[in-house]
Amino acid sequence: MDELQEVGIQAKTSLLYFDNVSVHFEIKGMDKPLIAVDGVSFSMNDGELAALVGESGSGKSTLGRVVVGLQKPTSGKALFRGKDIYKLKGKAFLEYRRSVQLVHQDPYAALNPALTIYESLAPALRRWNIVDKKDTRKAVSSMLEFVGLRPENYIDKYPNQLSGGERQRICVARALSVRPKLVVADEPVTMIDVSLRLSIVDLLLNSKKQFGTSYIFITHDMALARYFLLKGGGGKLMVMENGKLVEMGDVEEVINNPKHEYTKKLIESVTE
Amino acid sequence: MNSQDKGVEKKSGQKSQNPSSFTVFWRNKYARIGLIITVGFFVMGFIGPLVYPAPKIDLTEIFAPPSLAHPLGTDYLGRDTLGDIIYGTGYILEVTFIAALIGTGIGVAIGIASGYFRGAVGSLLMAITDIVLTIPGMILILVVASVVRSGNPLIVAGVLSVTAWAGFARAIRSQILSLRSSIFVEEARLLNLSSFHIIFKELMPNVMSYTAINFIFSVQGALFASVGLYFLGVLPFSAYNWGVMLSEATSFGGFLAPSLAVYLISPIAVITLFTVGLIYLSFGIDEVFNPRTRRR
Amino acid sequence: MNLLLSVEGVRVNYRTERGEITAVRNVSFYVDKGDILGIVGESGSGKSTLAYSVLNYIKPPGKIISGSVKLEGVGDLLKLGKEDVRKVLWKEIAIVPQATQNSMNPTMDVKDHFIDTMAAHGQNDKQKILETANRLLEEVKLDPQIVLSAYPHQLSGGMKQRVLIALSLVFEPKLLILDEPTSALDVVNQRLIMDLLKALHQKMGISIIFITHDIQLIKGFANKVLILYAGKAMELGDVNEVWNTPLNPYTIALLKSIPTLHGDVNSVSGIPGSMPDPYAEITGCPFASRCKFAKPVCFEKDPDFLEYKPGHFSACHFSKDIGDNYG
Repeated sequence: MDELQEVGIQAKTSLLYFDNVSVHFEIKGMDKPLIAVDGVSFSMNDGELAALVGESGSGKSTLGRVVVGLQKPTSGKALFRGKDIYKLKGKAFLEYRRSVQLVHQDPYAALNPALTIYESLAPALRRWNIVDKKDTRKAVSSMLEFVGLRPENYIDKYPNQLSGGERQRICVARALSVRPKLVVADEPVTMIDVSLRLSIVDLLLNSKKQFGTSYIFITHDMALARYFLLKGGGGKLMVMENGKLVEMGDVEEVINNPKHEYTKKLIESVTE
Repeated sequence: MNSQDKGVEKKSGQKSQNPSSFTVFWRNKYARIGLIITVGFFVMGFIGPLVYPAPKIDLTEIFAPPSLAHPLGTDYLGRDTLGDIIYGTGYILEVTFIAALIGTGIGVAIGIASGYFRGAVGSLLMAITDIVLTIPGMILILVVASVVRSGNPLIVAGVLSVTAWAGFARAIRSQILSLRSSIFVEEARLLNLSSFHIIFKELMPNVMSYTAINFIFSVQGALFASVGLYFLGVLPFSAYNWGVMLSEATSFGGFLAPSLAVYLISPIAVITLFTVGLIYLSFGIDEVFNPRTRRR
Repeated sequence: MNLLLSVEGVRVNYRTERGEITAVRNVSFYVDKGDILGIVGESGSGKSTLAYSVLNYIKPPGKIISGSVKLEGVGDLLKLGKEDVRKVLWKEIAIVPQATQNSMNPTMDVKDHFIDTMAAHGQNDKQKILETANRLLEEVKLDPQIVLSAYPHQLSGGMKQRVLIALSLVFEPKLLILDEPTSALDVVNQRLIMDLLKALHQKMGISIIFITHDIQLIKGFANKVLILYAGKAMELGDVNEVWNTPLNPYTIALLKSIPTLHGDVNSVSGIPGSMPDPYAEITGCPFASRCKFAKPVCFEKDPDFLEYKPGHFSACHFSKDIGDNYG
């Protein structure tokens, strides 16, 4: 309770509240730790969209992992609904665990090669009692339909029988299956063919429209970040360099009127 | 939307339902041969004694050449060689399959547990495994076998698998270690799926192909070891089987005359055929359990 | 006159357990002296297979079924024996493989790679080899003092790719083929490699075929572009012309699937559907099932690859209409 009073009203009402979060990695043989995330502060409300843009090595993936509970920060506050993510217990932890999901960059590694699509999707539905046992297959089918795949053609397939784009759709279906409040999508279309990318981005936005899912969309591609935010009805663009958030603001404002040198550089690097 | 449907349909029209495991297995020529041989041995071992007369000692028929009455001739006591083989098969099958079951079972359990549960439990299990690995297996088996001196197939199988599991446990552990840090396991954790689920549904299927093949090779290893033990006379001859046959054939006259070659070669031939059957069987098992090798 | 390489009707099949698949369908294109040709294709487009078939270097179960690859001063490479192709390789055409694909021997340092490569083609003078290596490494902006004695694992992905480029230049080939040289690299290294290639092109007058899945890399780099889809050549022409007045629906859709920094987000969208199953027999145009211009004829007849404007080719029954409408 002390924590809540300490960080104030915004922390309490926000879905996510990060205050001065840092992640240091100790590396063998180096006297100084590697600073992956350096004093990052931001907050997210229910239904809000954010895009996190930066080059590889800027720490954006690590920050995403802090959000989903996979990387404990070295210092700072990482709060979910006002409570420290890494101190959550019992019911509160379960609520968080269900509410925050990840879509990984590599759809080839994110699906268990030994399981059929049904076997990959069904356990989470069962685990969270989202449907009755006898309705599981039907529920998996409608999930596949939601991500634009014909259930009868995919439900009993193994991942190695599918293309990268199809796999990523399955991964999106799995992340959304537990009806999360917030999804971190870490470079979700970088490994997908150009012509299929926007359809998958649109899929994420559909769930925002239908269920009010919040997103942190991580990408190195400024134009794609802009597409995601504007197509989704607007949101904030966060620019990350060397572990620091160097610029944050409304997407159109930042792109049309960048303040930080690094943001300008990223914008210039987009060929049009 | 219409054009999308067409695209998906066109693609999937080709992708018919997954063939059943047996279909996948049966498509492989070697697997087919291996299965037929192995099933053949089971039929011979468990149905054979019901239809083929038991070999009897008949001192008037010592070292008889192959004939209609004795298709593979007789041994130094006038017993029918084919009968010896048939009546010895069941015992060999029991010993080798039980030994492989014990060795593979312990190996998988310890390998997975020590790979998945890091910390004290894992370290302890690995320490035990490493100690067992340093023990020279065959010598330990010789010692234990000569102390126990039982013909009971369960006990013999137990003796044979005393050290057999350790190397396999280590191999499974290293696979589990790399699998547990894979992204799909991370995803399962994010969905808060239980350790039970992760171990049995996510990890196990990925080591099944290796486990099944190890099982087959363990049967083979147990076959060689048991035949060896009987050949050396470490185990009592109370149960009649191929190892005892081989031992008797070499010490009681198998080399006496070229005409006795059938008597000597018969046990060697069945051991070889059984082994070939097992190896071919393993080809098909790899295809069934390993989704990566499944034809699209 | 200016023609360096002309590829006619190349078809490559792969025999698999489930049947034969066609990786490259009668592809034709040409490279003039001094060209930088970008070959663009998504996964399954057959772009790498095409590159290696230009060198008559397709390994079983792949097989070049038909076609010709005429190199100026040499003749049809597909009619040459293995030995003769080897002679042409490096000296006339060189291919730069992807640095990620074990293209360097981990037990050899960079110097040995140069010695090995040059000795294999009859150059045994160590002093000369080292001079060449020094010069070329400097050309790709690497410090020879450090890099020559380095082993592959000591080099970053970008450095390895640059070493491979330097290696490919040892016999000053007329044509350099690069297979996805930047796809495993981050944006900074990507830029570096592209700038470097551009400089080499200007300085040495070398022609380049640059294979990529990323159409955005082509603009501002190549002067010509060939667009592949499911093994078929869809469009070939001057880069700016293809960008501004594309004649092929696939090109149009592909360009429309790339978001921009300032354009209307509702004017871009992904291409619905997916690549046709390689095992399925395609009777008409391979893109028909995803094409919004598709008419019945598209599912029945595979369109020919025709020249609609000088130097601007397209394979579509309606390229003429599209061209007229675009103005």
